[in-house]
Amino acid sequence: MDAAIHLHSVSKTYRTGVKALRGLAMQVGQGEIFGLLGPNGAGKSTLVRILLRLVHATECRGTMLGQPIGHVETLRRVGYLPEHVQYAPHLTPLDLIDLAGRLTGVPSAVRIKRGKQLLEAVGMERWRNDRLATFSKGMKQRVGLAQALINDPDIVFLDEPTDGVDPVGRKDIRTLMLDLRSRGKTVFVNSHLLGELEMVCDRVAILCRGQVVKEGKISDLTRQQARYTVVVEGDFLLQEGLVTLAMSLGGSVALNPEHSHTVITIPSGRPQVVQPLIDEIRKLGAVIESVTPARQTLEELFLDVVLTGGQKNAHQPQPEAQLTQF
Amino acid sequence: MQFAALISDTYRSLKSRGLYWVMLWMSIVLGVIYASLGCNETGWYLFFGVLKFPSSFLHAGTEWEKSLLMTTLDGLLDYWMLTWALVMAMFSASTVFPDSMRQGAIDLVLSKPVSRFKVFFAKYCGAMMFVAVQALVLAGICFLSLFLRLQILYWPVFWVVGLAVLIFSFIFCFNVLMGVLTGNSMAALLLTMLFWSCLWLVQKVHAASDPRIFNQSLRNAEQQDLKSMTSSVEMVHKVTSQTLFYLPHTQETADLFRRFTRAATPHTFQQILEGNRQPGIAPIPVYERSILDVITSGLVFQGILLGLAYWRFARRDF
Repeated sequence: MDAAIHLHSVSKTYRTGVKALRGLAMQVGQGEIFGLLGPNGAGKSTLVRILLRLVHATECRGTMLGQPIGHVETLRRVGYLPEHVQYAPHLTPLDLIDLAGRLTGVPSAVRIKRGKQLLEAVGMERWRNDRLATFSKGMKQRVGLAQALINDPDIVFLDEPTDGVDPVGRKDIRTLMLDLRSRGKTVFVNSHLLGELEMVCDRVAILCRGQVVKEGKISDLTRQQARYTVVVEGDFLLQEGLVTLAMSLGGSVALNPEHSHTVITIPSGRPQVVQPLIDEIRKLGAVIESVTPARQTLEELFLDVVLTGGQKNAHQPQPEAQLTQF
Repeated sequence: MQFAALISDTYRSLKSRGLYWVMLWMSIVLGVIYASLGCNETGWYLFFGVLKFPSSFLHAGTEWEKSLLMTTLDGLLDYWMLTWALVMAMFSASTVFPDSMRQGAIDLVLSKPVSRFKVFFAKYCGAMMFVAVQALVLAGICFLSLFLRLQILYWPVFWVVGLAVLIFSFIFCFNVLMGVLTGNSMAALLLTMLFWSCLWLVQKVHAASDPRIFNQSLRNAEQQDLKSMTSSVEMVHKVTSQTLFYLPHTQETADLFRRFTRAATPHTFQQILEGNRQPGIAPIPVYERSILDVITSGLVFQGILLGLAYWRFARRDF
């Protein structure tokens, strides 16, 4: 993987003594949509702000687009949408895009043409000459996204891009991100909307207390936590053979709240692992109501990592219904 | 392109505030009132002849007409452009740094390939441009009026643009430092006004305690009283003089306009109305400092404060 961002060690200790980042290391590939997750205070914003020279790092070893972090000219190839964007009230969307273009050295003719195209892409063409002060938060986010793209950047940092945006706008923004990826651009997204990230991100990193505790493709991270849930009619809690087999597979057996069904959970995403269990149930003459492969969602993974402080690697699957644990 | 973009953005931001237009309209109105002042064969008039004041000597084409126009010009530029317009400008400009340093606003600029020095300096220059434009409008109207009335191209009137910018910059650098340190435009404005008031007071006390002026005003006092008072006043003068050594001389900078145009304004307004030909303004050179000294001391003060403000701005985490 060619790295758009390669961080070996990034640390930041604020003057108050707060350690926001502790030797953070990570890699973001070119042409991928990368999601940065973490609870409040994990250091996500600090990291992005260090990469964009807004915050001075205590230690920063790494590169962005092949140049050391903090290299001014590299920012010509970077776009950024801040989280709580604040515009000067006198600006219109076209003014803002024009200013962003001038600051990144985009020629006048290109600014005009691309500015209109971008406003159209984010659905703000109609309001291009209205004052930003009159816009809703979602509208401001869309315009902010357009200004971040005026220089046709190779990396775009989006801090909560869909915050305050309506569902149609969110879809537009997702489409735009996917379009950027298809053109070989790198998109670095920082968001709390995990469902949104799951839809578009190729890889994610979860930050906890200033360090990366999980990093990888979403499919790989959640596959590790995949499981099968087998629901059988009747109470088989005292069937020793079945329970022993389930436990030998690392699973658990429980009853649903009504005691009408037995729920067996096997912590594996491989269907072969479940076959002996199904054979055993058949031998008992029991009726299998469902065999459900389940993969951990990004939100579950996130919560798991955050609640365990990133210490635990394996997820212990819990049956979805309230169960009496064997 | 970046520098021009940042200056123009700052200027437009100031222009979008109501106070910009209030100031501009007041300058225009005062300029037009000045333009309406003139003389005819019977005396002088205001508002293009609506108000007429007969005079036996103040007629069109006389030396007194020129004195009237020049002295009024001097008063207008001194009291309005070099004083009250600058106070109003400070109200507008004090928001420049705190507002642009807010999170979400500064990000949009600093995340671009532009150095912090350029951002800082462009914001500063944008505020100066705001004052320069206001002064230029008024100076332009006055220049045109003089040309129409007296058929002279009186270029020294444009000194007011440079002096207004200079005086404003002496005070604005303090405002910038306060704005960068507090991040709050209201706090920065209040502290600036406090500083400006103290500076004004020190300068006034310093000027009033000048022995040459003070002794002249106490000519009739008893010898004993005069002696004890003089020593106290000399002490005050010394203290204020030492204090002012470290501070910009805004009053003396404003007086530079009079120094540059003294030849054209030898009479006070009162003398013009009375037909008194004795030279009125600055009969003897009472200025303690040379022009270079007045300007340099302010620029050094400004350089130090701006250096401190930039140092904080450059090191700050946004």
